[in-house]
Amino acid sequence: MKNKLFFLVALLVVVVFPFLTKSNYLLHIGIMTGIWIILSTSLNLVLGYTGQTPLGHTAFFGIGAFTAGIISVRYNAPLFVTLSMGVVGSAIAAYFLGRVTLQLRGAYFVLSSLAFAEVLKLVAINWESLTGGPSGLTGIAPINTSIFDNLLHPMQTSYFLIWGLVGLVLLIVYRIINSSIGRSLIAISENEKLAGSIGINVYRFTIGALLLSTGIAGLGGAYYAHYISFISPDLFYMTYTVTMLVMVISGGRRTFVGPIIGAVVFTILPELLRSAESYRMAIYGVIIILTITYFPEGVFPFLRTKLKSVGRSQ
Amino acid sequence: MAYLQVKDLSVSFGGLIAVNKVSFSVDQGDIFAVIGPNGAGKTTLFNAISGFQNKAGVVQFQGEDISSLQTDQIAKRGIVRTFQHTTIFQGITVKEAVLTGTYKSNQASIWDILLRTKKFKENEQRLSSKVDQVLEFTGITAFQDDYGRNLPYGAQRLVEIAIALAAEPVILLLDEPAAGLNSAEKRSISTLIRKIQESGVTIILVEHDMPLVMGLSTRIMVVDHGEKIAEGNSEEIAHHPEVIKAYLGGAAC
Repeated sequence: MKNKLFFLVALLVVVVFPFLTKSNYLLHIGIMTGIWIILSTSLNLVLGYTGQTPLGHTAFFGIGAFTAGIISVRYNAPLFVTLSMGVVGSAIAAYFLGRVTLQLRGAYFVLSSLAFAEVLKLVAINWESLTGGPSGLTGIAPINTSIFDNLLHPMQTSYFLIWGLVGLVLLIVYRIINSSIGRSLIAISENEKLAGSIGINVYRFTIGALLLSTGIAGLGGAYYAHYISFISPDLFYMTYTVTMLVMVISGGRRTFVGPIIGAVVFTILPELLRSAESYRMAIYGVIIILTITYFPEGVFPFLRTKLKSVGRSQ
Repeated sequence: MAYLQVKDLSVSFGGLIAVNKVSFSVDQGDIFAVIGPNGAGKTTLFNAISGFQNKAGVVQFQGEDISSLQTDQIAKRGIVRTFQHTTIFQGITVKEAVLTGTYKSNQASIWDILLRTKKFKENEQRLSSKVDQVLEFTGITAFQDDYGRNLPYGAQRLVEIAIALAAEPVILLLDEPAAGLNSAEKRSISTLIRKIQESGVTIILVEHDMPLVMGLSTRIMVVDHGEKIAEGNSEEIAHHPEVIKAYLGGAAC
């Protein structure tokens, strides 16, 4: 009941927001929040539900962006094609990577995933004919659907498209994690041996989660490419992965709501702290340390327990 | 034909032979105990049967060769194990952990899950009532909302068995279920093992506690230094000279 109320309020805020403001800057923040929710939810599937730490997760954001961008520039393909190809491209890359690296565990997985993103960064910088090289890829078709031209201006269209995608992603992820699939994934991240001994095929579930996660990250990337209509090898930089990690860990990994809260806070906070831009990574570092020290499960699980105990004592 | 037949099972780690050509068979409905001194190879034997360990030799279940199957495939056939060192899901509640154990009897497909069909809801309800049954059967209903890591040791061992039972075993392999328990807890786990047997599950048991083993087992196999040295009922084993030697040392003979 309470959950439903929260959901309806959130939905109302999301739908009404673009009509309350004429500022493109505020709409831009709204759009970026949506992109980051997709990315943090994507990372949470791997970090929270398989127990692996992918330090190169932004690779799949980048693959999605470049897949969509290249297809858009070369073939002028419509948006739904490029977005789908972003998803598929990321998932295919993840499949081949996963076949190799999922045999690895712990630190080895972390390092191989980091190396993957670094290699892709070099590819993106050096394969100029395909990716545009260091100066990036320009001329990606911007998001504009003429059907809504009379009703919405382009920024509003972009806004509703990303939030539609956010809704779709969240619905799928919510249903997957609240099912036998989610339970099996939690079992694997808790104790692989025991999971196997009750009949769970560890490899199949882990690679399945990886494909879903990277497909979602690819969707985020593909949207981003069209929205900004310019992409560069920067997308493969570790700062993106670190930002996702901060969102998921501080919000609460292995919860549905935690990464969403993390994404909202850490999209808006840096905008408020614009003057401290150059300290951003340092501030993120401090936040991670504080979260791990004081709320090891993340802020959302902490608040949830607090609210429950307040409710009980009344 | 034996229910579970093990022929010439060997496991070696490099040059060390941990299990050497052990053969035995277990009949349906039995409690079959494997005893032996520390380091005799009992747990390795369990690991080999349940697919955690590469091995030579043949393991047949109801006539089917399962020697080369993966752990999860073996579990799907109903051969489920527990571990020597308490192995449960620490970060979720007891109820969630046991619900996870019902994985095998899940009937909802990915489409049922994504579309939240009627079948999905019925399935979740069925699994949930299955969980309630298992919790009650193992006597841990009171702990259902506690996190695994917060439970007392004795309760953790019961949760371990409850997770295995939720997986609907036909053969349950228990690796030292009474290790570290006090005498009252030992009695209750012994009663539980008997109850599990009476519900129709065949049990293979590794255990050090002799009175417990003697009281429960239909047949007992003794291993030492990776080799089988004796097999028989509790009466025969208690008087077997090799067993007395292995357990009590040469001086007792």
